[in-house]
Amino acid sequence: MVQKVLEIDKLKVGINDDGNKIAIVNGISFSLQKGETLGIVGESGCGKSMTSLSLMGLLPPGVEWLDGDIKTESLHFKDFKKKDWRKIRGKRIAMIFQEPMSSLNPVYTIGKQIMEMILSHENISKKQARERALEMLKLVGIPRPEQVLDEYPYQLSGGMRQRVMIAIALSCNPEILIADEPTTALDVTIQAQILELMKKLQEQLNMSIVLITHDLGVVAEMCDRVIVMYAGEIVEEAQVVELFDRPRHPYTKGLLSSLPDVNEEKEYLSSIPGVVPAPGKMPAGCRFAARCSFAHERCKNTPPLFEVNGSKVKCWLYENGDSEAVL
Amino acid sequence: MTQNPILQVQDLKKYFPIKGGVFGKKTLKQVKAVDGVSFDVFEGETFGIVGESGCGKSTTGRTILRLLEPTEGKILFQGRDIAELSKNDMRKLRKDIQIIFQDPFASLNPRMKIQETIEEPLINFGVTDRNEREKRVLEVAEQVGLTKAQLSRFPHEFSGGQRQRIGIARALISKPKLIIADEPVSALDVSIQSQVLNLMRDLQKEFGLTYIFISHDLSVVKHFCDRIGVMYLGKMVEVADKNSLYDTPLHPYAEALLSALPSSHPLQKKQRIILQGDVPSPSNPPSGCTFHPRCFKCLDVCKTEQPSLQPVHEDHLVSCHLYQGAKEQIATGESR
Repeated sequence: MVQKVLEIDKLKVGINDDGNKIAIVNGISFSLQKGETLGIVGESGCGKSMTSLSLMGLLPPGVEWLDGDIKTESLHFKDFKKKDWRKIRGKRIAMIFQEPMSSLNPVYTIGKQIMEMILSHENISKKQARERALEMLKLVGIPRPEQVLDEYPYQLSGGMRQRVMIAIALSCNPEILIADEPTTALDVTIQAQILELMKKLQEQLNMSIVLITHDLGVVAEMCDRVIVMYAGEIVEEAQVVELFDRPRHPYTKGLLSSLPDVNEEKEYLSSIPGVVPAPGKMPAGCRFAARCSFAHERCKNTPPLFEVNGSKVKCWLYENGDSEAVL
Repeated sequence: MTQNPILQVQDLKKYFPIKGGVFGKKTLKQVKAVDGVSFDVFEGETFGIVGESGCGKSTTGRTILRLLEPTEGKILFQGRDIAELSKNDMRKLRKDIQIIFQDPFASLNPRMKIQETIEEPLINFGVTDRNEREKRVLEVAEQVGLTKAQLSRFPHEFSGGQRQRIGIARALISKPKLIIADEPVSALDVSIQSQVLNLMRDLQKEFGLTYIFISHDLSVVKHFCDRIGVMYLGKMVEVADKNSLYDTPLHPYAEALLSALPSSHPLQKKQRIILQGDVPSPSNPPSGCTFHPRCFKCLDVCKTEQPSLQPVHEDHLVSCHLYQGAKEQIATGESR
């Protein structure tokens, strides 16, 4: 039986410019199940990072929670005070960031930074926390962990730093790990190491992962279910195999076919004309219509998320299921 | 394709000194960013250089243009050694060799209008007639898909993809023969990336350009290049036609690198070679073959002796002890 660990309900996040609200994330809903890896993909500015930051209550200054809620079985994140967020962060939901370079504090040792997390959530002695930190470093496969415990971030390579970030994130056994572009700053051979590690740890600890990425290769590699975002909205939600076999939304199709494939020889790549509209200058109706080759009169009205064979698609083409669509 | 090398790089080296001592004048060590790289680039082709960060691929590109002075080695452009040229002659030669940079945000002057940015090379190369310059700018702008109205705007008004078009226009205006493209699409989203790659291919066809395409993205390189060189720690470890490289990578590093590529479909399971450890520091490279501490096929000889880049088949060169002497064996009909 699938168990929901997190439910996002019409979440709306944006800038409040003197009462003039500009939504960056425009009312998205999805849920996360126990033990699954949910991918959120989209291009820069589609709101995927803002979505992940709101799950942690870490929205940057100037960006506000406008509407909607994030729920677990017993909690409503909307009513959270600072104190409540602190209890959740790291303990139930932990996050790793894109830049392992700038997300570690350069003036504290690795050991101290892992211990800080453990000590703020658990009532144990420093000595025990240090032992736990050492265990974590071993778990994430850091060579010579005893020494690394007393080393500083600058002494480690990018891949090792990302391992340390994972160690910190997992040190309190969170149920949910949010990984925001965890391998984007890393080289492919190191990326392969980190993805392998994340898969192994997920099995071991049975946690749910929300993986935010722009890289469809990483999605194919890691995810069970995928959400495609465009201009602050979810345009498609599907099981990963379904998404790659039968992408439905014209944007998803365009995205997949604009990727060069090493197994296929093509002279030209197909591309999506135009650019993503800026927040605040969103067109009425379907936000992708201006770049869409299937655009139609009815696209002037915003389409709902249609359910089609277990997937969800925000496109009028699927009003009557797959029948009308050119697959 | 005519087999005329437009550019021959021979044993190119670029060392950066690490200064130290009381007055910071003593050279303590050298970072061997590029350490004896040789390759030929043929007219009209796209030669790709791939490798991970710190392998020296960008330094190679910049040294060819002499934006960085080479420490040693020859760079023959149409038979002429450009490492020997005086600064003045080099400047004139840059008319023929241009570069496109990675970061479309940092490589444009924010205070210059697009018109001025694109026009500047012409002024440099002594085109004094203002009308002619203007005509050229318009022509190039149209070729890369910029409108006339956009020319009087400033860089901040453009998106990443459009800025990269401006960078391409600037490189194109002096009618170069060779363009070095240093990670031209890495900063762009996939849908925009394909627009720029298509544009670069169109321009290559139209003007018979030769590209050196530097990238860390293996699928982009496969799509865009004809021949590819794989670099590791300042050395070229394998040079081959793209199909033979991707079908049968010979060097263990190239093999691991290609296997690390994420699959393009969730059901496609790959036999992955996970390399242990990280790339060593180029200031203190390992002895022998620089890849040996991470190599899963390491022999005893690899720890002490440096292999050299040798042909294994025609047009497939590899620098690895596993294949040293392979040529003789091929000649005598033995297989490995």
